[in-house]
Amino acid sequence: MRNAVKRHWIRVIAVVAWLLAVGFGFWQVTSYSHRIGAASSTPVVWPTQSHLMRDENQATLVVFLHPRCPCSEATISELERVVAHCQDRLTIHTVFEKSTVTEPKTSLKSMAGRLPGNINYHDESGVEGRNFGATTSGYTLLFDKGGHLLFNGGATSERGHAGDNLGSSLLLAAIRKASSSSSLSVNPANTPVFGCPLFHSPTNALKAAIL
Amino acid sequence: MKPITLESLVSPVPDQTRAESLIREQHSGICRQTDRLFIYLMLLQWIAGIVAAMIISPKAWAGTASQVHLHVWAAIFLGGAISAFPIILAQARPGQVFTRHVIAASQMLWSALLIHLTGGRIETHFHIFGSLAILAFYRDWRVVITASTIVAFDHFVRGLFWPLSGYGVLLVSPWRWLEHAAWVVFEVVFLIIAIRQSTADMLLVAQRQASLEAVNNRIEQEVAARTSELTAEIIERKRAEADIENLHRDLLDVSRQAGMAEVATNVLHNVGNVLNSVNVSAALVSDKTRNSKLVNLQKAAGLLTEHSHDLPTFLTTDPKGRQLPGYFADLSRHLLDERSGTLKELESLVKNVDHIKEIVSMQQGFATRAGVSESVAAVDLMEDALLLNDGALVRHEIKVTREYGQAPRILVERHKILQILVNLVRNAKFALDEGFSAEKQLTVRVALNGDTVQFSVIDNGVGISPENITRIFAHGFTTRPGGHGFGLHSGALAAKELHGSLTAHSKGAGQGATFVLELPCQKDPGDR
Repeated sequence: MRNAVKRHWIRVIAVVAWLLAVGFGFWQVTSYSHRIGAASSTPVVWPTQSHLMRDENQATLVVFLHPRCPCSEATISELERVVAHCQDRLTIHTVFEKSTVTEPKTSLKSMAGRLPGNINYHDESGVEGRNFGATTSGYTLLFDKGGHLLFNGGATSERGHAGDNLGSSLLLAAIRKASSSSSLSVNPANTPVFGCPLFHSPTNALKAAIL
Repeated sequence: MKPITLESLVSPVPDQTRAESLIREQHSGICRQTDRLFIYLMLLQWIAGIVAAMIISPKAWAGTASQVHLHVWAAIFLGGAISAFPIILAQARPGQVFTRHVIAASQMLWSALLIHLTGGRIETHFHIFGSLAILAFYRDWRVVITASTIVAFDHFVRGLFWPLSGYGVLLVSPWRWLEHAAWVVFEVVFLIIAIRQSTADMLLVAQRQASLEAVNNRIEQEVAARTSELTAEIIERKRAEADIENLHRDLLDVSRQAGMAEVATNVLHNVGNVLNSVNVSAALVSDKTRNSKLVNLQKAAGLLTEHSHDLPTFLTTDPKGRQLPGYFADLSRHLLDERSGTLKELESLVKNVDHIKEIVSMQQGFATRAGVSESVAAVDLMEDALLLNDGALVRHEIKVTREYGQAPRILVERHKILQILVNLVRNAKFALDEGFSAEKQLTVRVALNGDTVQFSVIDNGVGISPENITRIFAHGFTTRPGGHGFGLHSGALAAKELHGSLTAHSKGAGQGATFVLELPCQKDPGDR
């Protein structure tokens, strides 16, 4: 009887310890996935110094990607889903920050290439990133045909995680709004961005070291 | 012996305790088997998680700097932790309730990790439904509930602490989690129904097996009981057979003794007959000796002695003296006649004594050579049988005809054959006595018939009626007043012992009879 009680408690302790260990692991992984990328100042109108060509007949979407970021495939997937709802009403610029690495990840490049109306752009020195205030891979901006910012932020709910989320929903709403006649945006929608930092910085290095 | 019936074997009520024991054993076996399955599945998932992490997100980047992605470490260490505990339990405590609940929790944690590692791919969510189905292998609905609870807890925690996550409160589709939950509940409900049905089926099968086992046990008990009865019967039958064999042996001995008594009687009778002749001869010799003329010779010798001084005068002048030479001549003739008659009688006496000696010698051979095979001429056997009955045959004026063919010397137990043949000749003599034929005819025949030697004793006596022909060899059966019914019976048995046969043939009453003794021809090796 005594041994049975002892065994029972050993089991309970073992299960609790195991669940705590596993729970701690999941907490770490989930926390990492939900870590929001660094924020920066975002232009509310299309930067004139940009080399990217804004479409004056319809909305223009600009998305900045780290060519090697594994999380950004989820961003492209979400954009595919969003764009599917509003084809021919959007011009897309996918900007690969080429200053960081020599060649974008093959799958990422091909996925971006499948977006309708997409133009891949290789930002040689990170100029465009700085023009648009992009710091995190997956950073997405939507401008109306007048060059006014309608949306900025991420299209995923966490790093590398596709699926329904607030960012993609707001982006879709903004695109639809841009297509309508009264498309002036006073308060552009904003969501957090989840992805790899586009540029190396001591802060990023410190974060990487901690992780 | 009580007959075995189906009703006596099949119990109308299955043994519930045994059925429950069987179902426990069976369920324990299923759980152990499923535990082993999950050992491999846990290892496979661990490897798959690591591979997925290394393919999908091998590195995390920050500008030009990179490092191993956290997902890789999570797949290795978190995945390892998720798999290790259930693997250890499945090895150390297979089949236990605790083990399968831990496995259920672990499997759902693997679903969460794999979904995370694959970037929330909708296809990876199928892992949850597949895992629930695999967990149903345990046929324990509580395991499915544990797994569902883990899934619900995972969603709850994510929604609570990360409101922007797939199941967070800030989701654009706030009821999506409910849809997900509904699908899980949908599967769980049907899995539980299936598990309950399966358990009911297992119980039914266990009850049937329990019934079958009970029937088998009863059959085995019945078989054991019947085997025991049969064994006892066999022992009893063997004992009876042994008793019959002993009785048969005793009967054989009695028959043999009876046959031997008959032979002895016959021999004594023959000896008695001869002794009569011996007695007559001896009486004749005695009378002749007693009445011999030798006394007169003594008187004549006295006269010669009395007149020895004047013998010439006495022989020539005295009347008595003058008759004396003629008297001596007559006396010598008479004495010669006496001598001749006495010698004849003595010769007859010697012959008769030799006959007795021969009969006694035959009887001695009969008594001392039992069980020993010897080489004898088949014809000699028949002749001996006739010789032993010779006196009776002559006395009853029976004409004996001998028909001897080419018969070899054979290797047999002489006394047994002789016993049979003496009986047959003796029976023929009685049959002829009782018959009505003017001439009593006895024919004896010895012939070679293929691989057998046939001794036939044929008479034209009283014959055998058809109703008796089949009973004539039966023990104790006889048609002769004063008979014992042993002779033919023992003769038939003796013939059988010698691997031969004794048969009787008769056309009916008054038609005579033929007895044939047929023996395998075991030729004497020395017979050429």
